[in-house]
Amino acid sequence: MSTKYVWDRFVRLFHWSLVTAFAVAFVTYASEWDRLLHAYAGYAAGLLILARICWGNMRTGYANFHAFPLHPIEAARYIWQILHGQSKRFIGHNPAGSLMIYALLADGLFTVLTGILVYNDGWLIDRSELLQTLHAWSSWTWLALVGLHVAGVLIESILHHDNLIGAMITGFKRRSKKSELPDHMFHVKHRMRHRH
Amino acid sequence: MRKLSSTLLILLSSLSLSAQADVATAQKLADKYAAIAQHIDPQSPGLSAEEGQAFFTRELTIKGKQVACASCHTSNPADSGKHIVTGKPIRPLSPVTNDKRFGSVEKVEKNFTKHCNDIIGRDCTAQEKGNFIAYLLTTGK
Repeated sequence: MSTKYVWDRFVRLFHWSLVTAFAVAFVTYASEWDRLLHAYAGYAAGLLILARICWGNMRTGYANFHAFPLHPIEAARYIWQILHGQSKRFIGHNPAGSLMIYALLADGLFTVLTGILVYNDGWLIDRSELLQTLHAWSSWTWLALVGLHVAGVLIESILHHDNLIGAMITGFKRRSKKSELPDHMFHVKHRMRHRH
Repeated sequence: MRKLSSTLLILLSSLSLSAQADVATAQKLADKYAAIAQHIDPQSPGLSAEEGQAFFTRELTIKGKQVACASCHTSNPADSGKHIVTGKPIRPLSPVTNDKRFGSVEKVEKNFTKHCNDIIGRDCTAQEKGNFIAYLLTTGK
């Protein structure tokens, strides 16, 4: 089967490093003994997300933010299409996946930011309790988003006979067949709409 | 009109009570723990600040380190402490010097469970928790 290189080395390394950083932060959140490790994992996650945002603004093909625009209406439409068995295959992120990536990046950054403020108690914003609450809520939200993200990956893999997990390891995805609509249509249309 | 203003006053004072913990709410919590301890063991002698202090300073060997509550919270819980793992400052534990401490049962229970498990490997008993607060209430600047 013909394959296409989609996820570059940075994106793959970023993805699994973030998975690791978040997993470490998650298992170390409760005990005071693990406080330092928890903070380091959080800082690592924050730096990774910032690096990903820089990468997304560079000419990086499918990793570029322009390749997967934030478009909640298109995302909703795509989910509607999935429910009706009409979703078409995207080589990069599909519109629903794109929305998820932005949600993960934004909530991830917010979680790290509130985490830094909780860790450095009394620094900048002297509202310990409020910050602790925000940090806890955004963390659990992040976990829920991860769950949805994984569910989306599995659904997409089954519906379009893809192996998205494998693609995030090797970087390669199968090329679209002729019967499948060209995956760049949405992005071209979207970009043109913005240009005019 | 007077009725309305007095109702408002009661409402306001109850609001400020729930938002601001103080020595009185800490005492209420201690009493609550004392009552539970009495329920569990009718022979319970009541709360003891001395027992609480002994508990606070008792050193246990965990992860190859000699640690006690006092390791982070210093031998005077009315003072600011320092986290032995991260080195970060900790606000005073005593409700006498920190009115944000011992405000709500939920928060206190959560913190007791977390810290007791971290240090002694199990949750503390109602008697231990009551003694602990009784001791903190005797501390001062």
